[in-house]
Amino acid sequence: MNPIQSFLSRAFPALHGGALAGAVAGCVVACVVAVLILQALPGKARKAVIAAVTFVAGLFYALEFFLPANGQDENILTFAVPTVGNVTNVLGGMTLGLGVLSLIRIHGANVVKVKSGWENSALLLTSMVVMAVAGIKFEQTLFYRSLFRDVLNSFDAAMFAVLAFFIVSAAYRAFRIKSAEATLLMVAALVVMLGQIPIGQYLTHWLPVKGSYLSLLRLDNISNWLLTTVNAPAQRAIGFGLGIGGLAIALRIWLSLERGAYFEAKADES
Amino acid sequence: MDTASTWSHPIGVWFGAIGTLALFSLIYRENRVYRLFEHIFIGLAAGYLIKTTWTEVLGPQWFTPLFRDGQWPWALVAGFGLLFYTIFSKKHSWMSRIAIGTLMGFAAGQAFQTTASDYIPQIRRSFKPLYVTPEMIPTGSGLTTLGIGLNNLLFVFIMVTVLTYFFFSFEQKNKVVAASARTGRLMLMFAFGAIFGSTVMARMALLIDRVWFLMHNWLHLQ
Repeated sequence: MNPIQSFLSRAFPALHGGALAGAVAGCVVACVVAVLILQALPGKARKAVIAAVTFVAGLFYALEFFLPANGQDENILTFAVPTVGNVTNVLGGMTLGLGVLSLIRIHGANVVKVKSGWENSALLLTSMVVMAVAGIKFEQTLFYRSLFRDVLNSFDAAMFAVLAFFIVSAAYRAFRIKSAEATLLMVAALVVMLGQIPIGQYLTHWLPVKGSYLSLLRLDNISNWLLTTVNAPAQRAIGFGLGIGGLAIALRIWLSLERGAYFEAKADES
Repeated sequence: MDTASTWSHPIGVWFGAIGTLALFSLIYRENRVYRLFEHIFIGLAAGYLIKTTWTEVLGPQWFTPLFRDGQWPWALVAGFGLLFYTIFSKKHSWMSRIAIGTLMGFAAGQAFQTTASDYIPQIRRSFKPLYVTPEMIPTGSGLTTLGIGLNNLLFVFIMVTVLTYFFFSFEQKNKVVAASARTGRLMLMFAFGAIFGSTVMARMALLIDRVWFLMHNWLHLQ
Protein backbone atom coordinates (compact mmCIF):
# COMPACT_ATOMS: atom_id res chain seq x y z
CA MET A 1 0.00 0.00 0.00
CA ASN A 2 1.55 3.32 -1.06
CA PRO A 3 1.56 6.45 1.20
CA ILE A 4 -1.41 8.13 -0.52
CA GLN A 5 -3.46 4.96 -0.34
CA SER A 6 -2.73 4.41 3.36
CA PHE A 7 -3.46 8.09 4.13
CA LEU A 8 -6.82 7.87 2.34
CA SER A 9 -7.83 4.66 4.10
CA ARG A 10 -7.01 6.29 7.48
CA ALA A 11 -8.74 9.59 6.60
CA PHE A 12 -11.88 7.99 5.21
CA PRO A 13 -12.51 4.78 7.19
CA ALA A 14 -15.58 2.67 6.46
CA LEU A 15 -18.41 3.47 8.86
CA HIS A 16 -21.57 1.60 9.73
CA GLY A 17 -24.86 2.19 11.52
CA GLY A 18 -25.27 5.53 13.28
CA ALA A 19 -21.73 6.68 12.38
CA LEU A 20 -22.49 6.17 8.70
CA ALA A 21 -25.78 8.07 8.98
CA GLY A 22 -23.93 10.90 10.74
CA ALA A 23 -21.22 11.00 8.09
CA VAL A 24 -23.80 11.07 5.28
CA ALA A 25 -25.66 13.87 7.05
CA GLY A 26 -22.35 15.72 7.39
CA CYS A 27 -21.74 15.29 3.66
CA VAL A 28 -25.20 16.70 2.90
CA VAL A 29 -24.50 19.75 5.10
CA ALA A 30 -21.06 20.16 3.45
CA CYS A 31 -22.68 20.04 -0.01
CA VAL A 32 -25.28 22.67 0.97
CA VAL A 33 -22.56 24.94 2.39
CA ALA A 34 -20.46 24.43 -0.76
CA VAL A 35 -23.43 25.40 -2.97
CA LEU A 36 -24.06 28.53 -0.89
CA ILE A 37 -20.39 29.53 -1.15
CA LEU A 38 -20.36 28.84 -4.91
CA GLN A 39 -23.49 30.92 -5.41
CA ALA A 40 -21.86 33.83 -3.56
CA LEU A 41 -18.87 33.82 -5.94
CA PRO A 42 -18.51 36.69 -8.44
CA GLY A 43 -18.66 35.94 -12.20
CA LYS A 44 -14.90 35.72 -12.84
CA ALA A 45 -14.34 33.42 -9.89
CA ARG A 46 -17.11 31.12 -11.16
CA LYS A 47 -15.32 30.75 -14.47
CA ALA A 48 -12.08 30.05 -12.63
CA VAL A 49 -13.78 27.35 -10.55
CA ILE A 50 -15.13 25.63 -13.69
CA ALA A 51 -11.69 25.80 -15.36
CA ALA A 52 -9.98 24.54 -12.22
CA VAL A 53 -12.21 21.47 -11.70
CA THR A 54 -11.90 20.59 -15.40
CA PHE A 55 -8.11 20.85 -15.16
CA VAL A 56 -7.86 18.85 -11.94
CA ALA A 57 -10.13 16.10 -13.30
CA GLY A 58 -7.95 15.73 -16.40
CA LEU A 59 -4.74 16.11 -14.40
CA PHE A 60 -5.35 12.86 -12.55
CA TYR A 61 -5.24 10.76 -15.71
CA ALA A 62 -2.40 12.84 -17.17
CA LEU A 63 -0.29 12.36 -14.02
CA GLU A 64 -1.17 8.70 -13.80
CA PHE A 65 0.05 8.33 -17.36
CA PHE A 66 3.20 10.44 -17.16
CA LEU A 67 4.51 9.53 -13.69
CA PRO A 68 7.18 6.82 -13.85
CA ALA A 69 5.95 3.29 -13.15
CA ASN A 70 7.61 0.59 -11.07
CA GLY A 71 8.39 -2.94 -12.24
CA GLN A 72 4.72 -3.91 -12.01
CA ASP A 73 3.75 -1.08 -14.38
CA GLU A 74 2.16 0.89 -11.55
CA ASN A 75 2.87 4.30 -10.03
CA ILE A 76 1.68 6.15 -6.96
CA LEU A 77 -1.72 6.98 -8.57
CA THR A 78 -2.50 3.70 -10.33
CA PHE A 79 -4.38 2.30 -7.31
CA ALA A 80 -6.97 5.10 -7.68
CA VAL A 81 -7.76 4.50 -11.37
CA PRO A 82 -10.67 2.07 -10.71
CA THR A 83 -12.19 4.41 -8.09
CA VAL A 84 -11.88 7.48 -10.33
CA GLY A 85 -13.35 5.39 -13.14
CA ASN A 86 -16.29 4.55 -10.85
CA VAL A 87 -16.71 8.23 -9.97
CA THR A 88 -16.85 9.02 -13.71
CA ASN A 89 -19.39 6.24 -14.24
CA VAL A 90 -21.55 7.41 -11.32
CA LEU A 91 -21.48 11.03 -12.52
CA GLY A 92 -22.28 9.85 -16.05
CA GLY A 93 -25.09 7.66 -14.68
CA MET A 94 -26.56 10.62 -12.81
CA THR A 95 -26.87 12.55 -16.07
CA LEU A 96 -29.49 10.00 -17.17
CA GLY A 97 -31.89 11.73 -14.80
CA LEU A 98 -31.63 14.88 -16.94
CA GLY A 99 -32.95 13.01 -19.97
CA VAL A 100 -35.66 11.27 -17.96
CA LEU A 101 -36.76 14.57 -16.41
CA SER A 102 -36.90 16.17 -19.87
CA LEU A 103 -39.07 13.30 -21.13
CA ILE A 104 -41.36 13.65 -18.11
CA ARG A 105 -41.58 17.45 -18.51
CA ILE A 106 -42.38 17.35 -22.23
CA HIS A 107 -44.72 14.35 -22.28
CA GLY A 108 -46.19 15.11 -18.86
CA ALA A 109 -47.16 18.56 -20.14
CA ASN A 110 -48.77 16.94 -23.22
CA VAL A 111 -50.89 14.73 -20.98
CA VAL A 112 -51.83 17.42 -18.46
CA LYS A 113 -52.79 19.92 -21.17
CA VAL A 114 -54.48 17.17 -23.27
CA LYS A 115 -52.56 18.24 -26.35
CA SER A 116 -52.83 16.44 -29.67
CA GLY A 117 -51.28 12.98 -29.30
CA TRP A 118 -51.47 13.07 -25.49
CA GLU A 119 -52.38 9.39 -25.41
CA ASN A 120 -49.04 8.57 -27.06
CA SER A 121 -47.25 10.61 -24.41
CA ALA A 122 -49.18 8.83 -21.66
CA LEU A 123 -48.21 5.45 -23.10
CA LEU A 124 -44.58 6.53 -23.38
CA LEU A 125 -44.45 7.51 -19.71
CA THR A 126 -46.35 4.39 -18.62
CA SER A 127 -44.11 2.03 -20.58
CA MET A 128 -41.01 3.80 -19.23
CA VAL A 129 -42.16 3.38 -15.63
CA VAL A 130 -43.30 -0.22 -16.16
CA MET A 131 -39.99 -1.22 -17.78
CA ALA A 132 -37.85 0.54 -15.17
CA VAL A 133 -39.78 -0.87 -12.19
CA ALA A 134 -40.02 -4.37 -13.69
CA GLY A 135 -36.29 -4.34 -14.53
CA ILE A 136 -35.12 -3.12 -11.14
CA LYS A 137 -37.60 -4.87 -8.83
CA PHE A 138 -38.77 -7.94 -10.76
CA GLU A 139 -35.81 -8.81 -12.98
CA GLN A 140 -36.13 -12.57 -12.52
CA THR A 141 -39.85 -12.72 -13.35
CA LEU A 142 -41.32 -13.98 -16.62
CA PHE A 143 -43.14 -10.65 -16.98
CA TYR A 144 -39.88 -8.67 -17.22
CA ARG A 145 -38.13 -11.29 -19.34
CA SER A 146 -41.00 -11.42 -21.83
CA LEU A 147 -41.23 -7.62 -21.84
CA PHE A 148 -37.52 -7.44 -22.63
CA ARG A 149 -37.24 -10.26 -25.12
CA ASP A 150 -40.63 -10.44 -26.83
CA VAL A 151 -41.44 -6.73 -26.82
CA LEU A 152 -38.39 -4.45 -26.45
CA ASN A 153 -36.06 -6.69 -28.48
CA SER A 154 -38.72 -7.11 -31.17
CA PHE A 155 -39.41 -3.38 -31.42
CA ASP A 156 -35.69 -2.60 -31.45
CA ALA A 157 -34.98 -5.07 -34.26
CA ALA A 158 -38.09 -3.94 -36.18
CA MET A 159 -36.99 -0.29 -36.03
CA PHE A 160 -33.59 -1.12 -37.46
CA ALA A 161 -35.05 -3.57 -39.98
CA VAL A 162 -37.28 -0.75 -41.29
CA LEU A 163 -34.07 1.06 -42.14
CA ALA A 164 -33.31 -1.70 -44.65
CA PHE A 165 -36.11 -0.35 -46.83
CA PHE A 166 -34.95 3.25 -46.54
CA ILE A 167 -31.40 2.19 -47.29
CA VAL A 168 -32.64 0.71 -50.56
CA SER A 169 -33.97 4.10 -51.64
CA ALA A 170 -30.72 5.71 -50.47
CA ALA A 171 -28.82 3.08 -52.44
CA TYR A 172 -30.73 4.01 -55.58
CA ARG A 173 -29.44 7.57 -55.30
CA ALA A 174 -25.94 6.52 -54.25
CA PHE A 175 -25.54 3.87 -56.94
CA ARG A 176 -26.37 6.08 -59.89
CA ILE A 177 -23.04 6.09 -61.67
CA LYS A 178 -22.13 9.70 -62.29
CA SER A 179 -18.45 9.73 -61.42
CA ALA A 180 -15.45 7.49 -60.76
CA GLU A 181 -16.09 7.80 -57.03
CA ALA A 182 -19.73 6.67 -57.35
CA THR A 183 -18.64 3.75 -59.53
CA LEU A 184 -16.10 2.58 -56.97
CA LEU A 185 -18.67 2.91 -54.20
CA MET A 186 -21.20 0.89 -56.17
CA VAL A 187 -18.74 -1.85 -57.14
CA ALA A 188 -17.45 -2.24 -53.57
CA ALA A 189 -20.94 -2.31 -52.07
CA LEU A 190 -22.18 -4.79 -54.67
CA VAL A 191 -19.25 -7.16 -54.21
CA VAL A 192 -19.51 -7.06 -50.40
CA MET A 193 -23.27 -7.73 -50.53
CA LEU A 194 -22.98 -10.49 -53.13
CA GLY A 195 -20.13 -12.08 -51.18
CA GLN A 196 -22.34 -12.43 -48.11
CA ILE A 197 -25.47 -13.95 -49.65
CA PRO A 198 -25.92 -17.50 -50.95
CA ILE A 199 -26.83 -16.46 -54.51
CA GLY A 200 -23.71 -14.32 -54.72
CA GLN A 201 -21.56 -17.16 -53.49
CA TYR A 202 -23.30 -19.49 -55.94
CA LEU A 203 -22.20 -17.34 -58.89
CA THR A 204 -18.58 -18.35 -58.34
CA HIS A 205 -19.06 -21.66 -56.53
CA TRP A 206 -17.43 -23.55 -59.40
CA LEU A 207 -14.08 -21.93 -58.67
CA PRO A 208 -11.76 -23.85 -56.30
CA VAL A 209 -12.04 -22.90 -52.62
CA LYS A 210 -8.27 -23.10 -51.94
CA GLY A 211 -5.01 -24.19 -53.46
CA SER A 212 -5.26 -22.21 -56.71
CA TYR A 213 -4.96 -18.57 -57.74
CA LEU A 214 -8.45 -18.95 -59.24
CA SER A 215 -9.83 -19.18 -55.68
CA LEU A 216 -8.97 -15.49 -55.30
CA LEU A 217 -11.71 -14.72 -57.83
CA ARG A 218 -14.48 -16.26 -55.71
CA LEU A 219 -16.93 -13.52 -54.73
CA ASP A 220 -16.80 -14.40 -51.04
CA ASN A 221 -12.98 -14.16 -51.11
CA ILE A 222 -13.06 -10.83 -52.99
CA SER A 223 -15.64 -9.52 -50.49
CA ASN A 224 -13.47 -10.60 -47.56
CA TRP A 225 -10.37 -9.11 -49.21
CA LEU A 226 -12.17 -5.81 -49.78
CA LEU A 227 -13.16 -5.66 -46.12
CA THR A 228 -9.76 -6.62 -44.71
CA THR A 229 -7.25 -5.12 -47.14
CA VAL A 230 -9.02 -2.11 -48.67
CA ASN A 231 -11.61 -1.10 -46.09
CA ALA A 232 -9.46 -1.73 -42.99
CA PRO A 233 -6.54 0.64 -43.86
CA ALA A 234 -8.93 3.39 -44.97
CA GLN A 235 -10.88 3.04 -41.72
CA ARG A 236 -7.66 2.96 -39.75
CA ALA A 237 -6.51 6.20 -41.41
CA ILE A 238 -9.88 7.78 -40.53
CA GLY A 239 -9.41 6.46 -36.99
CA PHE A 240 -5.96 8.05 -36.73
CA GLY A 241 -7.43 11.37 -37.85
CA LEU A 242 -10.16 11.03 -35.25
CA GLY A 243 -7.60 10.11 -32.59
CA ILE A 244 -5.38 13.10 -33.30
CA GLY A 245 -8.41 15.40 -33.49
CA GLY A 246 -9.74 13.94 -30.25
CA LEU A 247 -6.40 14.48 -28.53
CA ALA A 248 -6.27 18.11 -29.71
CA ILE A 249 -9.84 18.74 -28.52
CA ALA A 250 -9.08 16.99 -25.23
CA LEU A 251 -6.10 19.30 -24.66
CA ARG A 252 -8.20 22.37 -25.47
CA ILE A 253 -10.99 21.29 -23.12
CA TRP A 254 -8.57 20.31 -20.37
CA LEU A 255 -6.84 23.70 -20.50
CA SER A 256 -10.18 25.54 -20.94
CA LEU A 257 -9.03 26.94 -24.31
CA GLU A 258 -12.05 25.63 -26.20
CA ARG A 259 -14.47 28.19 -27.61
CA GLY A 260 -18.08 27.73 -28.62
CA ALA A 261 -21.67 28.11 -27.47
CA TYR A 262 -21.15 26.18 -24.24
CA PHE A 263 -17.61 27.30 -23.46
CA GLU A 264 -18.08 30.99 -24.19
CA ALA A 265 -21.26 31.26 -22.14
CA LYS A 266 -20.53 33.51 -19.23
CA ALA A 267 -20.67 31.90 -15.84
CA ASP A 268 -22.03 35.10 -14.39
CA GLU A 269 -24.86 35.44 -16.91
CA SER A 270 -27.32 34.16 -14.34
CA MET B 1 -37.56 -25.96 -19.79
CA ASP B 2 -35.43 -24.34 -22.49
CA THR B 3 -34.18 -20.76 -22.38
CA ALA B 4 -36.56 -19.58 -25.11
CA SER B 5 -39.66 -20.61 -23.20
CA THR B 6 -38.45 -19.15 -19.87
CA TRP B 7 -37.92 -15.78 -21.58
CA SER B 8 -41.10 -15.80 -23.64
CA HIS B 9 -44.80 -15.61 -22.95
CA PRO B 10 -47.59 -15.84 -25.54
CA ILE B 11 -48.99 -12.41 -24.54
CA GLY B 12 -45.52 -10.89 -24.96
CA VAL B 13 -45.10 -12.60 -28.34
CA TRP B 14 -48.49 -11.31 -29.54
CA PHE B 15 -47.71 -7.78 -28.35
CA GLY B 16 -44.25 -7.96 -29.95
CA ALA B 17 -45.70 -9.25 -33.23
CA ILE B 18 -48.43 -6.59 -33.42
CA GLY B 19 -45.85 -3.91 -32.56
CA THR B 20 -43.46 -5.24 -35.21
CA LEU B 21 -46.19 -5.04 -37.86
CA ALA B 22 -47.18 -1.56 -36.64
CA LEU B 23 -43.59 -0.35 -36.88
CA PHE B 24 -43.28 -1.89 -40.34
CA SER B 25 -46.37 0.08 -41.41
CA LEU B 26 -44.05 3.11 -41.67
CA ILE B 27 -42.76 1.60 -44.91
CA TYR B 28 -46.14 2.43 -46.43
CA ARG B 29 -46.52 5.81 -44.76
CA GLU B 30 -46.55 7.44 -41.34
CA ASN B 31 -49.75 6.68 -39.42
CA ARG B 32 -51.30 6.79 -35.95
CA VAL B 33 -50.64 3.14 -35.14
CA TYR B 34 -46.96 3.56 -36.02
CA ARG B 35 -46.70 6.65 -33.81
CA LEU B 36 -48.41 4.84 -30.92
CA PHE B 37 -45.95 1.92 -30.98
CA GLU B 38 -43.04 4.28 -31.62
CA HIS B 39 -43.86 6.04 -28.34
CA ILE B 40 -44.19 2.72 -26.53
CA PHE B 41 -40.81 1.70 -27.92
CA ILE B 42 -39.16 4.94 -26.77
CA GLY B 43 -40.72 4.54 -23.31
CA LEU B 44 -39.55 0.93 -23.01
CA ALA B 45 -36.05 1.84 -24.22
CA ALA B 46 -35.83 4.73 -21.72
CA GLY B 47 -37.10 2.44 -18.95
CA TYR B 48 -34.52 -0.18 -19.87
CA LEU B 49 -31.79 2.49 -19.78
CA ILE B 50 -32.92 3.48 -16.28
CA LYS B 51 -32.83 -0.18 -15.27
CA THR B 52 -29.32 -0.83 -16.63
CA THR B 53 -27.98 2.44 -15.22
CA TRP B 54 -29.21 1.43 -11.77
CA THR B 55 -28.32 -2.25 -11.85
CA GLU B 56 -24.95 -1.87 -13.59
CA VAL B 57 -23.67 1.56 -12.52
CA LEU B 58 -25.41 3.39 -9.70
CA GLY B 59 -26.33 0.26 -7.71
CA PRO B 60 -22.99 -1.59 -7.63
CA GLN B 61 -20.70 1.45 -7.93
CA TRP B 62 -22.49 3.96 -5.70
CA PHE B 63 -25.33 2.54 -3.56
CA THR B 64 -23.55 -0.63 -2.42
CA PRO B 65 -20.21 1.02 -1.50
CA LEU B 66 -22.03 3.82 0.34
CA PHE B 67 -24.81 2.07 2.21
CA ARG B 68 -23.54 -1.51 2.49
CA ASP B 69 -19.76 -1.09 2.67
CA GLY B 70 -19.93 2.18 4.64
CA GLN B 71 -17.71 4.15 2.24
CA TRP B 72 -19.33 7.47 3.16
CA PRO B 73 -17.32 9.76 0.78
CA TRP B 74 -19.60 8.43 -1.99
CA ALA B 75 -22.27 10.71 -0.50
CA LEU B 76 -20.12 13.64 -1.65
CA VAL B 77 -20.04 12.21 -5.19
CA ALA B 78 -23.86 12.13 -5.18
CA GLY B 79 -23.93 15.74 -3.97
CA PHE B 80 -21.52 16.68 -6.72
CA GLY B 81 -23.61 14.81 -9.29
CA LEU B 82 -26.71 16.71 -8.19
CA LEU B 83 -25.04 19.85 -9.56
CA PHE B 84 -26.12 18.60 -13.02
CA TYR B 85 -29.71 19.27 -11.98
CA THR B 86 -29.07 22.95 -11.24
CA ILE B 87 -29.49 23.31 -15.01
CA PHE B 88 -33.24 23.51 -14.33
CA SER B 89 -32.79 26.59 -12.12
CA LYS B 90 -32.04 29.88 -13.86
CA LYS B 91 -30.27 31.24 -10.80
CA HIS B 92 -28.04 28.21 -10.21
CA SER B 93 -27.65 26.80 -13.72
CA TRP B 94 -24.00 27.90 -14.00
CA MET B 95 -23.12 25.30 -11.35
CA SER B 96 -24.10 22.48 -13.72
CA ARG B 97 -20.99 23.48 -15.71
CA ILE B 98 -18.83 22.46 -12.75
CA ALA B 99 -20.16 18.91 -12.98
CA ILE B 100 -20.09 18.90 -16.79
CA GLY B 101 -16.53 20.34 -16.73
CA THR B 102 -15.45 17.54 -14.38
CA LEU B 103 -16.83 14.88 -16.71
CA MET B 104 -15.12 16.62 -19.64
CA GLY B 105 -11.88 16.81 -17.69
CA PHE B 106 -12.02 13.08 -16.95
CA ALA B 107 -12.78 12.38 -20.61
CA ALA B 108 -9.90 14.63 -21.71
CA GLY B 109 -7.51 12.87 -19.33
CA GLN B 110 -8.66 9.47 -20.56
CA ALA B 111 -8.08 10.65 -24.14
CA PHE B 112 -4.34 10.94 -23.39
CA GLN B 113 -4.29 7.39 -22.13
CA THR B 114 -6.37 6.15 -25.07
CA THR B 115 -3.90 7.72 -27.50
CA ALA B 116 -1.04 5.89 -25.84
CA SER B 117 -2.77 2.56 -25.31
CA ASP B 118 -4.89 2.33 -28.49
CA TYR B 119 -3.54 4.52 -31.26
CA ILE B 120 0.23 4.23 -30.83
CA PRO B 121 0.21 0.39 -30.97
CA GLN B 122 -2.16 0.64 -33.97
CA ILE B 123 0.24 3.00 -35.76
CA ARG B 124 3.10 0.59 -35.07
CA ARG B 125 1.08 -2.38 -36.34
CA SER B 126 -0.05 -0.49 -39.45
CA PHE B 127 3.43 -0.45 -40.95
CA LYS B 128 3.35 -4.07 -41.98
CA PRO B 129 6.42 -5.90 -43.29
CA LEU B 130 6.80 -5.70 -47.07
CA TYR B 131 9.32 -8.52 -47.13
CA VAL B 132 7.52 -11.61 -45.89
CA THR B 133 9.29 -14.84 -44.95
CA PRO B 134 7.50 -18.24 -44.87
CA GLU B 135 7.46 -18.16 -41.03
CA MET B 136 5.28 -15.05 -41.15
CA ILE B 137 2.45 -16.76 -43.03
CA PRO B 138 -0.51 -17.33 -40.66
CA THR B 139 -1.48 -21.00 -40.34
CA GLY B 140 -4.24 -21.99 -42.73
CA SER B 141 -4.29 -18.64 -44.59
CA GLY B 142 -3.55 -20.31 -47.93
CA LEU B 143 -1.58 -17.28 -49.10
CA THR B 144 1.98 -17.15 -50.39
CA THR B 145 4.75 -14.86 -49.14
CA LEU B 146 4.29 -12.78 -52.31
CA GLY B 147 0.52 -12.52 -51.75
CA ILE B 148 0.90 -11.38 -48.14
CA GLY B 149 3.67 -8.95 -49.15
CA LEU B 150 1.45 -7.40 -51.85
CA ASN B 151 -1.50 -7.18 -49.44
CA ASN B 152 0.73 -5.50 -46.86
CA LEU B 153 2.05 -3.06 -49.47
CA LEU B 154 -1.51 -2.23 -50.51
CA PHE B 155 -2.54 -1.80 -46.87
CA VAL B 156 0.24 0.74 -46.20
CA PHE B 157 -0.35 2.48 -49.56
CA ILE B 158 -4.10 2.93 -48.92
CA MET B 159 -3.54 4.11 -45.36
CA VAL B 160 -0.93 6.69 -46.39
CA THR B 161 -3.02 8.00 -49.30
CA VAL B 162 -6.15 8.33 -47.15
CA LEU B 163 -4.11 10.10 -44.46
CA THR B 164 -2.82 12.47 -47.16
CA TYR B 165 -6.40 13.21 -48.22
CA PHE B 166 -7.22 14.28 -44.66
CA PHE B 167 -4.10 16.41 -44.36
CA PHE B 168 -5.47 19.95 -44.41
CA SER B 169 -2.60 21.74 -42.66
CA PHE B 170 -1.35 23.11 -45.98
CA GLU B 171 -2.72 23.53 -49.48
CA GLN B 172 -2.22 20.39 -51.55
CA LYS B 173 -0.43 22.08 -54.46
CA ASN B 174 2.45 19.65 -54.82
CA LYS B 175 1.69 17.18 -57.63
CA VAL B 176 2.71 14.11 -55.64
CA VAL B 177 0.63 15.17 -52.64
CA ALA B 178 -2.34 16.07 -54.84
CA ALA B 179 -2.17 12.72 -56.66
CA SER B 180 -1.87 10.88 -53.35
CA ALA B 181 -4.86 12.76 -51.93
CA ARG B 182 -6.89 11.99 -55.08
CA THR B 183 -6.01 8.29 -54.76
CA GLY B 184 -6.93 8.44 -51.08
CA ARG B 185 -10.32 9.84 -52.03
CA LEU B 186 -10.91 6.94 -54.41
CA MET B 187 -9.80 4.44 -51.77
CA LEU B 188 -12.23 6.06 -49.34
CA MET B 189 -15.02 5.44 -51.83
CA PHE B 190 -14.06 1.75 -51.88
CA ALA B 191 -14.14 1.72 -48.08
CA PHE B 192 -17.47 3.56 -47.91
CA GLY B 193 -18.91 1.14 -50.45
CA ALA B 194 -17.76 -1.81 -48.34
CA ILE B 195 -19.22 -0.20 -45.20
CA PHE B 196 -22.46 0.52 -47.05
CA GLY B 197 -22.66 -3.09 -48.27
CA SER B 198 -22.03 -4.43 -44.77
CA THR B 199 -24.65 -2.09 -43.28
CA VAL B 200 -27.28 -3.17 -45.81
CA MET B 201 -26.53 -6.81 -45.08
CA ALA B 202 -26.78 -6.22 -41.31
CA ARG B 203 -30.17 -4.54 -41.74
CA MET B 204 -31.32 -7.38 -44.01
CA ALA B 205 -30.26 -9.88 -41.35
CA LEU B 206 -32.46 -8.02 -38.86
CA LEU B 207 -35.33 -8.03 -41.34
CA ILE B 208 -34.98 -11.79 -41.87
CA ASP B 209 -34.90 -12.22 -38.09
CA ARG B 210 -38.15 -10.26 -37.78
CA VAL B 211 -39.84 -12.31 -40.49
CA TRP B 212 -38.65 -15.47 -38.69
CA PHE B 213 -40.09 -14.11 -35.42
CA LEU B 214 -43.44 -13.42 -37.04
CA MET B 215 -43.63 -16.76 -38.84
CA HIS B 216 -42.03 -19.04 -36.26
CA ASN B 217 -42.63 -17.50 -32.81
CA TRP B 218 -45.99 -15.87 -33.53
CA LEU B 219 -47.73 -17.89 -36.24
CA HIS B 220 -45.86 -21.15 -35.46
CA LEU B 221 -45.23 -21.79 -39.16
CA GLN B 222 -42.26 -24.07 -39.79
